[in-house]
Amino acid sequence: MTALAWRLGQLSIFALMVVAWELIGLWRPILAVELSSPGLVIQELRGMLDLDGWNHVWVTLSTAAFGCAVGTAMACIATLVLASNRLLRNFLSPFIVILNAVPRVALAPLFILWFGIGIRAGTAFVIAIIFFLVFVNLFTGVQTIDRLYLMNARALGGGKLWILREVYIPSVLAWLIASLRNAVALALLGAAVAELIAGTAGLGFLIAQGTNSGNSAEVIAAALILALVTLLANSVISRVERNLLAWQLSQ
Amino acid sequence: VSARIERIVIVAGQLLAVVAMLFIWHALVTTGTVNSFHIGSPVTTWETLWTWLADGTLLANAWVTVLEAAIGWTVGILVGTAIGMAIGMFRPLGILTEPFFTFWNGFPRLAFFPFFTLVLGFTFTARVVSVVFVILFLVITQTASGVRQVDRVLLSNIKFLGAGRLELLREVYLPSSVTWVITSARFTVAFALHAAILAEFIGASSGIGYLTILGQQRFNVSMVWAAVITVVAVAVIVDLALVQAQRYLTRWAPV
Repeated sequence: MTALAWRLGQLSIFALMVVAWELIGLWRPILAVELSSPGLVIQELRGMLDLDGWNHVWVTLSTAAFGCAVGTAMACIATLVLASNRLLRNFLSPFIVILNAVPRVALAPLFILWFGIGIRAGTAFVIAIIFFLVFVNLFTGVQTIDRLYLMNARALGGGKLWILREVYIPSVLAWLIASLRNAVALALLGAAVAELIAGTAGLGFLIAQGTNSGNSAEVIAAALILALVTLLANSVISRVERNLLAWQLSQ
Repeated sequence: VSARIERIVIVAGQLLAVVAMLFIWHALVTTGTVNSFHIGSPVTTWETLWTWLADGTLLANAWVTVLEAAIGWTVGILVGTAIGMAIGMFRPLGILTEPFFTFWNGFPRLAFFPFFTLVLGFTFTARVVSVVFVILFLVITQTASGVRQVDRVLLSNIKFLGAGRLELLREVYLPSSVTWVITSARFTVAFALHAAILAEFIGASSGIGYLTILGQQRFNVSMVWAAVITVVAVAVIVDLALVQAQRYLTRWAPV
């Protein structure tokens, strides 16, 4: 079968599901109140984007992007400072193991107490969780750097700075790119959860608003927008990843 | 010998660092340099933890969260493995449903728990369903790709010996799926625990997520710290238990 036929098949499955969802609502209107329906969600989406929906999208997106950028930069600096020293690395590793096991998004209430209700808490929260995610990844990356490379580099007379530039930074960079996709997804999720618990704007705030007013359509619509943003960011990053890591794949 | 000494020094340094942090925190609060309203205090955090331990609050709430995660995880693994097998074994089904699963994998599933409370109310069931929803798609994707990556030689041998789809499922895919479940358990269980805690943030009346949010709503930082420490402790204990279980269950496998 051709690719076009598969595409058509995929589309018809999608259409079938949407129709089934709509039919449930028509069959038992009471269920449509809880489960909502495609019609209601589309209506909700239209209403959102007519009103201040773009503003909410922008709030979540900018919180996530800013937090992700700052958190990643901090993690890179911390890795370069801490990880090239073996003693420090051994000192830190049990703390890293614990940090890695922590359910990150569940720490949001702490940040809300520190920074109050609103965008500042969300931003600080995203910075913190992204810092830990990326730092843990880079830290493990440094720990798995082939000892052979290091010994060879030293045997060739490489000084500390030279080894940092020629061995550590390239391998850390590869790990950084690999963890970027997770980081972006987590940043968007973290921003949304912070807004959900105690926000004044953003997609997470819309989810909370929908919950409080018992409006399923609003919850679904806001989550859908968030999903689309995440998928879009994912596809952009995989493209970047493919370009930047082309040297690795070709080896 | 010097390596051993180094290790002892490092462990001592780690303990010292923790004690020093607690001490600095305490000093900051007692001297009034930083208001304990903002950062809490180690003493009240400890007192809260101790009270919770003594009156059973801690264990009861941790138990609720672990139970939600465990039930949700089990259901998610069973249903996810079944669906994953189906779409992995029937190639057309895999291709047709691929965009569908890509969508759900990109969907912010951890932030979707309010929906389940709208449908099922502020109930234990709603939180379990939320856990299932979070890990189901992980399991499906992973099982499907596992099925596709089963050793080709093994497959052609067993087909040559006259095995049909049913024998393949019983003799190859199901036994392999047990290995996939075990090797990914640390990841999926962590997700399940995460989902359970988040689901307790809205309208729950028990669980460690509930304790965290209660502390936040009472503006009691020490209480949030106590809850966060409980969360971390539960997560680390579960993780360690899984590592042990994994080692035990895969002890037959060649290294």
